Amino acid sequence: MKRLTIDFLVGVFVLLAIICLGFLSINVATNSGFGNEAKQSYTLYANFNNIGSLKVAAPVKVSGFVVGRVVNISLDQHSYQAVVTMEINDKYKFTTDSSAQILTTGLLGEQYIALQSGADTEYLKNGDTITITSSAMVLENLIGKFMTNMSSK
Amino acid sequence: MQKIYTIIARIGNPVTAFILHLSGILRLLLAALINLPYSFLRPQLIVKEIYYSGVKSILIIVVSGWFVGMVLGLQGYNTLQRFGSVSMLGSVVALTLLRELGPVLTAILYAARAGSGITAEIGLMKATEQLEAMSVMAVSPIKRVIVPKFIGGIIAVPLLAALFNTAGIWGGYFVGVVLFKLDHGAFWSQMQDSVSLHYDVINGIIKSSIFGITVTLIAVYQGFIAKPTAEGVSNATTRTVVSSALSVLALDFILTALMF
Amino acid sequence: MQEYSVLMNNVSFGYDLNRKIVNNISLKIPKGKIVAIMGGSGCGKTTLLRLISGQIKPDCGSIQLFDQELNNISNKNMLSLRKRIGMLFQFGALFTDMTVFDNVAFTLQEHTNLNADLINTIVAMKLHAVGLFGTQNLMPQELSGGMARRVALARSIALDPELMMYDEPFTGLDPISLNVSATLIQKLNKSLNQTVILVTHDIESTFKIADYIYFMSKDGIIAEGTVDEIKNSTNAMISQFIAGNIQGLYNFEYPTTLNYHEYLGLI
Repeated sequence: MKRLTIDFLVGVFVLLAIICLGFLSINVATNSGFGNEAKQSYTLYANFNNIGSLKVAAPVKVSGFVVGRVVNISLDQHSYQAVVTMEINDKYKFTTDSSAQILTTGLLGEQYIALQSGADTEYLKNGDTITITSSAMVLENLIGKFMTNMSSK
Repeated sequence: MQKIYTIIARIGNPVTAFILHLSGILRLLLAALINLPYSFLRPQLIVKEIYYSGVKSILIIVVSGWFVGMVLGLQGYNTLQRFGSVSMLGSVVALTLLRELGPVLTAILYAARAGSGITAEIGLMKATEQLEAMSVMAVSPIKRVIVPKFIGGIIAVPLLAALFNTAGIWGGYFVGVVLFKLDHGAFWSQMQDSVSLHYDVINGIIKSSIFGITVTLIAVYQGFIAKPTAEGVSNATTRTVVSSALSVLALDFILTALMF
Repeated sequence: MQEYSVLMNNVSFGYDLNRKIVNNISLKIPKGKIVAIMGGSGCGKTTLLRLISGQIKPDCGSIQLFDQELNNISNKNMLSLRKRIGMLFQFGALFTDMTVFDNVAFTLQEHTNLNADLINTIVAMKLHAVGLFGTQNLMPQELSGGMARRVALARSIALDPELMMYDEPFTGLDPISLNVSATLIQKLNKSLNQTVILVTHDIESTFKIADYIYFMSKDGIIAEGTVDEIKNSTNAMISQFIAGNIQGLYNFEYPTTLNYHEYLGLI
């Protein structure tokens, strides 16, 4: 086979593969989570009494729409609360009285953080902490409550 | 006494053989790495190898990927239906492909399609004294034959894996959206929700690069040690496919444990 | 003073310790001469060529190629020596994945910086010399065995080597091709003042073109001399070899301690 033909076919192969890689990284994967995060996102913190089984890389959603991801989970040595670090896309701003809640997708699905904006006029800045939080729903506690309610009746 | 000696020797034999092969492969890797710069002076040789091992494998990779994706779609649909979460189908298909099946099956198909060819080619070159002729002409077979194949493999396998994954996701799409009438918006958005570029896509590419190196090395090594007879070459191609598949699966376990 | 391209001194070699393939060989190949090495099949002639081209190292003894000792030569020096030698393999050993043109141009492309036009010209000249001009775009599998070997010859003389080694160049050729090959070897030798080592057991052609002949057996060199000396030799082994007699001193059978008649239970 002629050298030019081989070059052409290899070129087609490489272009095809690059298109596929582009498809995989743009259409299949979420755009956040790699590299460009530092430039186009800002960090928020939230303290929770109980994070349930929330994991790093869990989505942060507003009305079910993904606006960011959990990048770190640590423990505050003084208050014994879990500190969740979130990277939020720059495009989305939240008021200072926003609240954060840990919810579950479906009954057994993955846990995520749901943000709810408030009515304040000021917006949270990079490094701010969300103070109004409600912890993850833990099935055992729920059943416990239910049982005590039942027995007290 | 003699009997015990023989039995213990029989146990020891595969171990020593394994170590011998491993050291042979690692020495080959070292020789290839040392001679790497030379090959970039002759990019035409690498392009030729990408053509023979990559371009010629496109069809089998795309068709296999498409079918694997369809099977994942069917099985995923049947299982997810029981939990009422068929909308998760997209992420099931994409995650399975990107993390495991894409890199692993691509590498195994590559071993069968291109790796066996590499072994046979080198084995026959040896049998017909071509390698010897080359070294008498003061051209190192490692530089001229081995290294271009090596680089060609490293480049071709991740690209083929990307084709495999894409074909597979469209196969899953075909089953889920076209056949079972799922909402195509949910299919894609669930997928995008659960697949991360860093964890899944990039790690998959790293995996398939490592598999590419492994398969190509095994293929070249088996060609080199093949007995210069018709039977020897045919045995060597079989060994290439078998040991490539085993190494890829074992390596996949290690890489998965390290990555995810 | 006579210059030598190859000097071998008491060289022995064996792939394993018990069976020596080359046994205590000493020979001198003078510059610009055609030296034939003759002997029965399996007496280590091809191994001898491997030793000279430095692909294998002798177990003992010394080999000098172009006045350089090969025993502890560096890789780099060995490569530069190899660029000065050409070798024709018994079955040609053409690169089957390349065209005839690429085969002949191989060393030119690997070792020189000549431009494409010049390489084209040289390849055409070399192919013309072996009578195969016009086959440039064929693949080796489209050639007959004899043609393939002539292409291989064109390939090995592409860089005009100072020393040519031919491994059985006459086997399997028809009388005309055989004559062409013999004449070609002689012509190359004369026009380039090329040293030639001719490993063969074709007696007729050897007597026609060789300047000096070594007779080799499993036990080393058994006779040497010019063509006339060999022809008139009284050595029983040589006259047996030349006449092709089955009975004689030349050991044709595999050396074994087993007795054939005893093995079959006849005695």
